[in-house]
Amino acid sequence: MLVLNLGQLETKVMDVLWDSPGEPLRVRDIMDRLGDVVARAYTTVITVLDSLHRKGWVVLHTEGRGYVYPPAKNREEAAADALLEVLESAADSDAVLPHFARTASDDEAGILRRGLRRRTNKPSS
Amino acid sequence: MIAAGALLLAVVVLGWAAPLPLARLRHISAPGAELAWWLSLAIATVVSAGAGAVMLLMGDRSHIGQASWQACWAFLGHPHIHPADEFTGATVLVILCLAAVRATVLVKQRLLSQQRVHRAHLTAARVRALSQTGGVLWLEHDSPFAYSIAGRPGLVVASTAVRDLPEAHRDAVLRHEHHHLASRHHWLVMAADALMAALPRIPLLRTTAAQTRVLTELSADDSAARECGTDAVAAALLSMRTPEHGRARRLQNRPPRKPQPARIMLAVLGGSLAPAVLGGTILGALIFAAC
Repeated sequence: MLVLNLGQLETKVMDVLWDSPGEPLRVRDIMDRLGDVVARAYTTVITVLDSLHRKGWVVLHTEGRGYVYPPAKNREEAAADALLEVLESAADSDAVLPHFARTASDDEAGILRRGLRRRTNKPSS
Repeated sequence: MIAAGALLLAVVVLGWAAPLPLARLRHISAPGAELAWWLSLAIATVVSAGAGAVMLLMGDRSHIGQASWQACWAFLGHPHIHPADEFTGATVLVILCLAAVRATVLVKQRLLSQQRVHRAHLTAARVRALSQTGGVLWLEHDSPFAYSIAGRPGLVVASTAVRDLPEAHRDAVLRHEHHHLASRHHWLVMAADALMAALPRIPLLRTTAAQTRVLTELSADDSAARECGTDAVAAALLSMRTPEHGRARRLQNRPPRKPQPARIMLAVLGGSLAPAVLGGTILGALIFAAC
């Protein structure tokens, strides 16, 4: 299950992984592709990948003598999950002003959630 | 201790009898000043209950209510702790301690909830499930609604249907939400809700929580109307998913009021001193009657 808490550097690493579908990337490959965008130490990228693995955003595979980190879900599926969390967290929360429940009717929120679940359950393309 | 009794009586009057007449006085000032009045009155009432209880328990050690005013003053200030005073003071203090625990639990839950909803929106923006332009997160939806979330940074979220509104209406909606964040309305609502959760049986605290939600909205309406015009805000309120006819009418019937710091200070002062002034009046009446 995805822990829907993605930091800025984690987002950049996920962008690299999502932009390379079907291409297993090693830490060095990810560092190269982060390139000028974020100049980071090897250990930093390892730490970020470890965090992404714990949160369920990437899976860990061995390939040869090293590890590769394919994304657990493609961008569309992750976006659908994130949107679902947005709706559920906002609807349950009194921390939202004005209260979200007043702004989207129950029926509407239900339809939206069901639509998102269908989208999430679709096999990834 | 008659002084402590007078203060506790003032707390009872303000806590139980005052909300109805006070609620009828609404809209006599800018929403910001009324908000300041309600919140400071609620806090001062709870603090006064604690002060009254401590005064009862301290008895002759406090020297409150004692003086050399000969007979009548001696009548008012019992020189010893009466068992009934001690019981009342201890009971009030225990109730207040339990109330503090309940308020702490609510604040903790609310902060966790705020953190969750804030994190969810930021993550959704990062994976591009929400688009982001001009400091606003846009949620794909064909019904117009908007809301704001406190945190770092504060977030304004609006449906894409709001983006499709006429420019003046859209600006009014966004200005309204930005005002909630700039004026820290989320924290004020949380404070009022915590007081209500702490002592839910006190009508003043229930009324304050309800008033806080209403007045923060009216304050944001006024702020948006000052910048974008009354007509734009009224039209925007009517075009929302749940049209706000009452608030639109209010704006059309009276010009938006600018918050005046002096009035807000006066409201805070009035609300904070109300229990002490009422307690003093009751005490004065008792002295007058006894002497």
